[in-house]
Amino acid sequence: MKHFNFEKSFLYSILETSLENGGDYAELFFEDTKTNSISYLDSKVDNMNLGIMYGVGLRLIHNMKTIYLYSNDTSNDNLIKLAKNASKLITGSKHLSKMFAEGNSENKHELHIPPFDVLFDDKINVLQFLNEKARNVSPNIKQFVGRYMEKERNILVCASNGIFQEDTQTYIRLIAHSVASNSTTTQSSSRSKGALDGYQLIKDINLEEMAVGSAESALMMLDAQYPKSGVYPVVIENGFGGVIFHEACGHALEATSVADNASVFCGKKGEKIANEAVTAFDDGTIENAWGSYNIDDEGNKAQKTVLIENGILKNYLVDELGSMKMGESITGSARRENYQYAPTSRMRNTFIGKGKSSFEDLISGIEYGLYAKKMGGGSVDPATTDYNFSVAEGYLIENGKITKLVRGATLIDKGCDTLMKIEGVSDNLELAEGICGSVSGSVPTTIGQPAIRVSSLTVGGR
Amino acid sequence: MIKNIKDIYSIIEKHAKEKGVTQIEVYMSHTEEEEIKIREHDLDAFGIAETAGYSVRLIKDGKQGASFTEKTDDASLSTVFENAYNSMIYMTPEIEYNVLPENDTKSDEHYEMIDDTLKSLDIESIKNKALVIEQGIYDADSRIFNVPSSGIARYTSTKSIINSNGIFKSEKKMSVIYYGEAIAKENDIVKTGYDSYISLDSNFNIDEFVQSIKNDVIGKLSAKGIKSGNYKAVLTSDAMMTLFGAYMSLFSSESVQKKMSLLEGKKLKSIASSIVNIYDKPSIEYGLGNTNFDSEGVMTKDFSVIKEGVLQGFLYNTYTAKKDRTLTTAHALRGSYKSPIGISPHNFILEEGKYTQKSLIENINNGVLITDLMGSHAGVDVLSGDFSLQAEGFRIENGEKQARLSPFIVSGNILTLLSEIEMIASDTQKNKGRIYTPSVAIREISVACD
Repeated sequence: MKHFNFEKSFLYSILETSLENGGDYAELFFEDTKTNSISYLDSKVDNMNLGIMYGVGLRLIHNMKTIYLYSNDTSNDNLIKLAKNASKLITGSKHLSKMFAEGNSENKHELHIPPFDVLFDDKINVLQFLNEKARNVSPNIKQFVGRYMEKERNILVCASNGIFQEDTQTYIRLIAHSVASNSTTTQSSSRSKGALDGYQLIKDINLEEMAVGSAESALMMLDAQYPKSGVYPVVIENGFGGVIFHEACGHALEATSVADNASVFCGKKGEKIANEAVTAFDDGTIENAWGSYNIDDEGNKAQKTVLIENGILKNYLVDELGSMKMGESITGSARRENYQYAPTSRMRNTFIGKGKSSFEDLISGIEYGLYAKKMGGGSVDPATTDYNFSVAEGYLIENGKITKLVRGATLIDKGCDTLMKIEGVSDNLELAEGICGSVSGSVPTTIGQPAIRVSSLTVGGR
Repeated sequence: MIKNIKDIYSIIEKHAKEKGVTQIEVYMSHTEEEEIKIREHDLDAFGIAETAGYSVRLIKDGKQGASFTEKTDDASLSTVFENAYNSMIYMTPEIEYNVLPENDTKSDEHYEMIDDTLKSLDIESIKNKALVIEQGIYDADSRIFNVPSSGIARYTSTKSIINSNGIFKSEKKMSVIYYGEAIAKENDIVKTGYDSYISLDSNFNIDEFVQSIKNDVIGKLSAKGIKSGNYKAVLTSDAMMTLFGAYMSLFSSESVQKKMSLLEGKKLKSIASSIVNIYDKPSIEYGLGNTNFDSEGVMTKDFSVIKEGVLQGFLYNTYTAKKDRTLTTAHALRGSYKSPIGISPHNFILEEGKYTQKSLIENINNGVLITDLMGSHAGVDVLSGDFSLQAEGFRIENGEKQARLSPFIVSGNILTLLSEIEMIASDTQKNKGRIYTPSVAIREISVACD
């Protein structure tokens, strides 16, 4: 559906103006986003934040250098001003823009119940229900925070390579966060679910399980011990456990790092970078998945990209600028938080494929190790792949059996080493939703994996 | 289109009158940005931006509603009013607490914190300075083979606020950030180093900045491991800033009222070593958090957070102060016009001691010097106070800084750490952010390393 009312011929003239003094690529990115969020705390609505984000970004690439201008003002006069200001910054001969190609991308992510059409009363009832169910688990649940978020992101991208695309991306997310306290400590635990979809997601969630699950986890953590500091085998659970691959490897495969020779995986295409048990994908096409879309923020269609196949590096994640610098094909992975960021290559739905081991196979044979059941977030330095991530809920593995509950552990290692140390991949692939922050802002990303066993990681404890 | 806050206020006020809303607040944030990024001795990216956003807050019958917009056409302003108005329906009435602050100045107040020399720098001279930074990093050591990013960004930001109690204040501020990243290689070992420097003026020592990045990255090339265990430690100014920054919400009255602070019930109790004094000050020399009024328009003032280890009180905005029957400490803060009003310090200062970092190290026979902490967004648990973080640093043996350590993990609890501060240095880094802490020596921290 057409959301923006700009004349194509006018936008074409803006690109032409910006290329007046040369440039290899010019692009306009318009965004009109509405967002609603409701926060429920202290057994009442704590905050409702409803807003409109709106603006334009103009990007000019010349000899692989980027000029990026953005503004809230999308008036014709201001667009002309932005284009003239951009063109003044380079010297060269006029470059002609390709005529815009016709037609929009097919919508591959049907919106099941537009969330903005659903009454706030219904959404608040959901949060109320979560609150009641979580608090009913135990009087030690001292606080409950429920969060509901919906966003409709309308974008229009047109560029001198002939792209003219519009898309509407609707996101929805629900988070249940329980806080448990006793006389000695306070612990918390969350459950969340998100999608590139509508209110059907909320209807499909087992709300009681979500609330009770977060409350029970928070209560359990009150009695958790600290793990022993040291280096030992770690089994990482499926789903959000995939954050290890996201941090340890994914960021270092983005053209953002690779094109500038700032990734440990530069020049390694076709080489073995992981244990042969590892096959990994970055797939922007999964229907209604949190990290999916029809078109990326450069207007290219989403793709499924094989990153690693049986341990061999197959592809990087490549955007327009990365493609110019690296000579690699675009993978439809250009993303940005909003018009205030120039796009760059980013992960979408990234996961390790199914393996052949059972979960029991992974645990058995470990004399002393850690089973990381629920992961927190992490970060990485792509040039070295030194990464860290936190374990929200862990268990000791002693003599091949899962034993004591532990908390407060952080895991560190070098990603390129970890990939080689993945010695077992199970068959229970699951995906989970998160938010990834990087140079082009925070974007929704899915992470995932089946449970894996890493032969050794450094574990922080006491 | 960017509109004047007075024009926006008039439109919102007109809508409000029609609906019988008398308490109105409009907050505006306007930002201009210029950024030059250098790569391979040439301009790599040039960014120019001008944006503005508006937040509308309404209070009626003790209920508060809020909404924000970046669009200022008539339809969007109607929508933003309707959004704020409609959200009030779902809020619990809190007549005593939900009020807008009264005007505490006799006239409208408009402030400027702009250094003339910084303002006068043209784009060409900013670009040249950025080129010198990059060249300096390359020249600092032949093992540095890649400077993936270095640059300078200059921001001019204005916050303005009008409310129906007569407050009309604005403040314009200019700041600059210098940054640089280096990758060095020796044999098969690759390491990175990064530094940034934020300032409200144009004083900047390129040589010192370049040396800091070089020392960071080159030192890491010869890093060694350390046996896991408990060690005495010195945390540098940088490391302390990261750690303190992650725990700022502990001192917020909002966190306490929401049962989300482990300092609940600890006012006037000892929570830190008796040598610890912490202040929050809204106006210090070139303070990066300097501000004349908070995000509700209340004039700011000095506040004592911890005195000789004893917690003096919490930071308040108008709502939380009314709830605790006290006065606001003028710490209302909006992360941006998109965020609801929260609470945050201005310049959060751990008072310096009389020692040098070297003398802190001299007192340790077997320990670690922690120079940097990473992953605080994930490895810090604000509710329990526990932390487990990736760290960089050096071995300390027999009172001397020794070998650089390969990445390790430090784990502990913030309250334990505060109570185990044994010595405080006088070496606060003043150009990193709004948290100012010197290096400190602590009795013990758990270290994990391969």
